[in-house]
Amino acid sequence: MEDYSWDELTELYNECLTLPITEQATFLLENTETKPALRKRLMEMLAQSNEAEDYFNNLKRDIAEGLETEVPDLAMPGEVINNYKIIKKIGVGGSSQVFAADRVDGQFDKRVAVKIFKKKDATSFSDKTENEKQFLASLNHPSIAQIFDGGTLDNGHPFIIMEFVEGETLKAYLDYKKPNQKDSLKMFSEIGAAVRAAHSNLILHLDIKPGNLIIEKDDRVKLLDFGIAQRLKETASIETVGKLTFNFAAPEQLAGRALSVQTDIYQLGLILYFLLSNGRILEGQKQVLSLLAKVDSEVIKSRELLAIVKKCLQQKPENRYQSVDQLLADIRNFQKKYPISTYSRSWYYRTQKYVQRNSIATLLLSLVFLSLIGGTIISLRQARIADAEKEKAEKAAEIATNTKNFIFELFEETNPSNTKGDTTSIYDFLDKSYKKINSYSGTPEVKAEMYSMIASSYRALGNFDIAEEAITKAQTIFDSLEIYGSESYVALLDNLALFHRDNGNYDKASSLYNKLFRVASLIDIPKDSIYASYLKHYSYVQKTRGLLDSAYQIITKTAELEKRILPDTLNMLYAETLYIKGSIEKDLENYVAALKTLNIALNIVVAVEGEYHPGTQAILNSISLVAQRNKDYDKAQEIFYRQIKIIKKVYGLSHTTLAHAYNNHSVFLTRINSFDSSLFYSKKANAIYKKALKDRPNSDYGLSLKNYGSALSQINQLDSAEHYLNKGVEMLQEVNGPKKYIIDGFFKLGYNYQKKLDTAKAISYFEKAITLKRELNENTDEYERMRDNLKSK
Amino acid sequence: MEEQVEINSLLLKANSGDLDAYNKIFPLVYNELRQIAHRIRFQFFGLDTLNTTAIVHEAYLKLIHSEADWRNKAHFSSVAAKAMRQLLLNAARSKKAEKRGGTYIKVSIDEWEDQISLSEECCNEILHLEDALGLLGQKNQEQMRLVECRFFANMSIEETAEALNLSTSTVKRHWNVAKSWLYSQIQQQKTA
Repeated sequence: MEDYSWDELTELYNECLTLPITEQATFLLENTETKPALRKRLMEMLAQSNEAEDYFNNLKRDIAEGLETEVPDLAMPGEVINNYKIIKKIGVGGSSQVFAADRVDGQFDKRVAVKIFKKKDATSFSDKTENEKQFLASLNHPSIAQIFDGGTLDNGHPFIIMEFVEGETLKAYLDYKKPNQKDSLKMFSEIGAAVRAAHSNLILHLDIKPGNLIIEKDDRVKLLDFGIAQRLKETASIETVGKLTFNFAAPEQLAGRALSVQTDIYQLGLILYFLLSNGRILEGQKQVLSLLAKVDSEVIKSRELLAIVKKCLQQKPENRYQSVDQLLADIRNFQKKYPISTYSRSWYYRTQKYVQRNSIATLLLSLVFLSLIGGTIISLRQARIADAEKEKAEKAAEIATNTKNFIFELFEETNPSNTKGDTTSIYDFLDKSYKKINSYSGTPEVKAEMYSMIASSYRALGNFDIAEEAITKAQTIFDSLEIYGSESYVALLDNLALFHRDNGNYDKASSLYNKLFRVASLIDIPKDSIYASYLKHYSYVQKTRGLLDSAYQIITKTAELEKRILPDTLNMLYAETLYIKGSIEKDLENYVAALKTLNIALNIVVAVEGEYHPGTQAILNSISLVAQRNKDYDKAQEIFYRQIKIIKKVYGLSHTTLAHAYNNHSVFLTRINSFDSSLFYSKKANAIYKKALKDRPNSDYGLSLKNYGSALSQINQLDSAEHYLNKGVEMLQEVNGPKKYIIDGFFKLGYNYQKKLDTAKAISYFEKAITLKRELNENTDEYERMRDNLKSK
Repeated sequence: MEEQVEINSLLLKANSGDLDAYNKIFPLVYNELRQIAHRIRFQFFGLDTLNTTAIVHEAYLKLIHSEADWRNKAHFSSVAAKAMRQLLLNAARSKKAEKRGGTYIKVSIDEWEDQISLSEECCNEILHLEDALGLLGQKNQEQMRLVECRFFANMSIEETAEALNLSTSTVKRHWNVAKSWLYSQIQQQKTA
């Protein structure tokens, strides 16, 4: 297996670290030629070096958390605190020690617990006004351990005196008693009732965790420490919070935001999980998020109960239950087998179906990747055309070439992959360049070429309107020149086909490719990487048309061609081909092959360009889709985070690519029935689009708005849904966006009106959808049935 | 004096990988480990008062009751680092065993070990790291010891260099490789 010595590995790795990232891959290739295992390992190590660093830091931090340092006893037996004599230490927690104590004067035969906090500088109970103290003390509920008094010891440690509760912690109880679901829910309702009683006295707990729940001999629950946490945490630093209850802290506590009733509800959600799983803890936000992404959980078998837990654990407080009452009502409904508020079967299935019908995620992201790589192809083509012209008429061609190069440089600067985020300036720049071309007075062929080029830039940025205008101008010039046989014309056909592809008119695109390959064979254009790119585009169009066998055949041919003509398969063009091949294999439901192909593509891109590259995240997106098909939702979620990390680094926080990924993820979340999170990401996407694009209409933005509207419609926020659907569809129409999305927008609007009981409007939108669908020669049966159903009412 | 010679020779042997010697010296260093733990904790919770070397040297001095040459002090540091690794491994194993309800027999040297409360995820990672570190040790002893110092005893590059009698640049180079290799190995173990 291993073909290298450890010294070699050490040497080469350190050598790599001294090189700029862009040169590392080449260096490795040169030095590991005969050693594939060494190469593979080093590539991995280089790609993950940042993660490795984080890994060890995080692990060290986790270990640090677990290394509790000893604190000497804060009180000794015999000591008297507020008329209570300390008997013995009975417990130690993360933040405090607890002692049993008896009344000194023997007035009442009452044993109490004295809790002394380790941290001196925390605002103590004694700072509370008498009013507040009485307030807390008045909290008298059978499931709440009563607090009698509090203050600060001479040694500076704050303490409270509270009801002495005899029993065991919830954790110990679960361990030996292993209650069934029914008993667990009963216990949970008791805990909930205690929290509700406190809430109605305007007291929050904010530190509900298994350690604060004691089970007494008669199996009754007691909740400790009410009203303490809030007071303590106001002044506690973040590390204290982390230490105290890291796993049970709500997101708003970790972020230091405002706390509310919903904070307690979040912790109740964790307790419910703890009870139902017989003592499992969701450790940290990562595990919470992964639970939120799940439709099924092995730990909580009942989907209804899972839905209840998830509703409690929503990241945004406003998305959780509004009160403990609502939460307990759902628990009761479940116990009585009534439907629960958060979950409806028909809703779920409807959503599933909706997503199946609209698998936009694949297509859109792929297009972004293709257009980015497209940049290099154009540049190769440019060089060759320039050569040809030199032969024809040297001087004229020289001028043309210079002009072209000049403009091309400008275009290069505006290529989205080079501008890292500032989309608005790209637009300004393109607009300026476009005007420049209009007044260009060089040879018509160059002018046509420029139009063709700028059209593809507009297309990549989602402005199909100007793209169409520019490409029409190019075509008009070619037509007037009657030079159908030239390579430039072939390139134009490719561009034109891509335009129709992006516009959703795949049949047209396909027929243009047929024409392209006919012309190509007539004039016998060289079978080079540019030709391979035509094949690649054609394959993708066939894939989208559902002609998977044809697509697969073409892409296999492309891969073979590239293997022959490229100096090395460690090449971005080849990676792109594999990316498409993998996507086709995915559609063919050959997930094993798809994963393999996509991973090779990923390795190439990472090796050539590094982790932080647009291609990496595009491929990750496809891998995520395969994972979703395999129902490996954790993996999909994990990939999403990796993708986001890349995008943030490559494009920045305000780039539309980030919005794009958020939008895709939101569609994924809808698929797994996680509507609140879905809306959350959708909203984020829209905010970015809005900021990046100002008021300029854009196809992706339109689509994102439409998706947001659809999701709102799903959860019956019909007025907002109508607003966003309209906005989205209008924008898509304005930029002459893909017809299938406009059709879907009309349909969703129709359905939304149907829900709003506005039959006339509903019918009119179904009709609009049907008309447009017919234009694309697509089956309209389902839409017609919906329309006719309404008409017959 | 007898005692000091004995300890020094044990340290030397322990450092060159003699398991017997290590087992003999382990209880002697063990008590000082909580100080290292202290230091690790405080790095993250903001109360950085002592550095690791100072703690370990103090422990060493207590142990042999006299000034010793720097080389032996350095050996003591790296043995302490190994002990820390052992301690965390024990804690992780016993926690996992508890979880499974199994009957892992724990030889707890003192109660402190019981007070270590590692999260389950953290335990899993420690066990993964242990496996990977074992492999690393087979390939390169020096790098393994270096990980013990850098990671488990939280020593700086300079402290590690002194403890292992290496140059700081060698420590840096080894640490780069060991860190990345261990991570990639752990990822492989997880997907295997």
